Amino acid sequence: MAEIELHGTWPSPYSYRVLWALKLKGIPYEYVEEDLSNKSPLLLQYNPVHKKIPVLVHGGKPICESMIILEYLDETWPQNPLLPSDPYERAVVRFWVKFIEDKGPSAWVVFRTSGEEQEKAVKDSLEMLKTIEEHALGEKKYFGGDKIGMVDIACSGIAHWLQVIEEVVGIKILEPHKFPRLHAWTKTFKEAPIIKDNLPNQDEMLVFFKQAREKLLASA
Amino acid sequence: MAKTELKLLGARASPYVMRPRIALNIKSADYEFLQETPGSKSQLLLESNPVHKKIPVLIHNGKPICESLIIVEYIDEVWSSGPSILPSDPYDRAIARFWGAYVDEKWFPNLRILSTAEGEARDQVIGTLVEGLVLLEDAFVKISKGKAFFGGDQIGYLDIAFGCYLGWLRASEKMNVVKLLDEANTPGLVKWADTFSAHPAVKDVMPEIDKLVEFGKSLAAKFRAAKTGSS
Repeated sequence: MAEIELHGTWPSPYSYRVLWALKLKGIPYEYVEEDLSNKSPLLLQYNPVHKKIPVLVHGGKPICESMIILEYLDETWPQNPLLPSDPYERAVVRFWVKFIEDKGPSAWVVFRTSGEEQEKAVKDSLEMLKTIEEHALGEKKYFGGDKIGMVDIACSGIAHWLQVIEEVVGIKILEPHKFPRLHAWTKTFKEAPIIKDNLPNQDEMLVFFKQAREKLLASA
Repeated sequence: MAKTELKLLGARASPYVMRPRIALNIKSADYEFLQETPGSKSQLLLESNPVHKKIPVLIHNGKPICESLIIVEYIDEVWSSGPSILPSDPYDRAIARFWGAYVDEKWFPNLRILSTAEGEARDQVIGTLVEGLVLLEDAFVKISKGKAFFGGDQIGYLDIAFGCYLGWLRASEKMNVVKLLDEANTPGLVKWADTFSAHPAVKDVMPEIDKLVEFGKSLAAKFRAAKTGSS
């Protein structure tokens, strides 16, 4: 067994958060693709509470929840830190990580629903983006300042997955003229070294998520 | 030398406000507690937490820190010479944070639902809550390793994260005439709950159960009135 394993799925933004952190820190790992429609006994053993990916396994010990994994990686491998060293700045970073964790999923509700429920989710998503645009990014290149940090990685769904959701449901949410800073950041983030070489193919994602939405609406 | 300016905006009934209060007590840090009036938000709160407008907010030398567990981590990092709140080993920290997130995101929301659930829905929520407590019992046994607290001999992050809900847990048991924590399913947690509540860093900031029951009843009544009003 490799010293470090990442259990994930190729279309999942949560999976990629951990993958990028591992690569940014130069940590060798083995990737294991999980099939969520047929969960492996190993996954259920590693994450019995949530039965979800990503799971990081280090020396046989599993760690679950992507942002908790990132804090673990930052503490265990301090090179190329994802968190600042000042306690106040760390608290601000953690605040925005929690914000996107709590509010970000509204974009996925847009993906999963239709009608009134979807309309509300679109409203929630717009509010979320507005808050980030006005309070979180400022004039910085990245949320982390000059370098990618934990908030950039946490917000990556906005950079790469939101477009796919928008195309699948036919609703534009992140309009450049409404969210100029955020829009500029999505480009900068995706062009950053390591990120740009490690992004799931958008055409493949379109096919995958279109099919997934059709299934969801059919079974509703 | 200027005294450190430390203020905490909060309210006594809030489990989230208890968390930084316990942390500050553990570190023997003096602070000014600014009680928010229920039903209204002070100017200071709106300025310090413009995104959520919620308590608790810790204001340290004029700088606001929001979100209860983030405040606890901040206190642990700044008052580094006092007893540690988070475990020192990164893996143990990850486990503590995992269960902290679990109680907030998965377990406590059901306790809120219980206050207004009726009939079959009520039974279902109680079942879910007890299942969650059994998971937490299992976690407690593994993490405490026979000691009194999740944090070992001392109160730690997960004790604070979960323990702050004990007031509302006990109030819910009273209001619904049901046992959520019991000797049969969760013996370890039953003992832990008493030890935690009696701890010097906790007992003065734990709200009185009867006051919570009163508060809970009035909230439930308001909710029911709103429901019938809109139909």
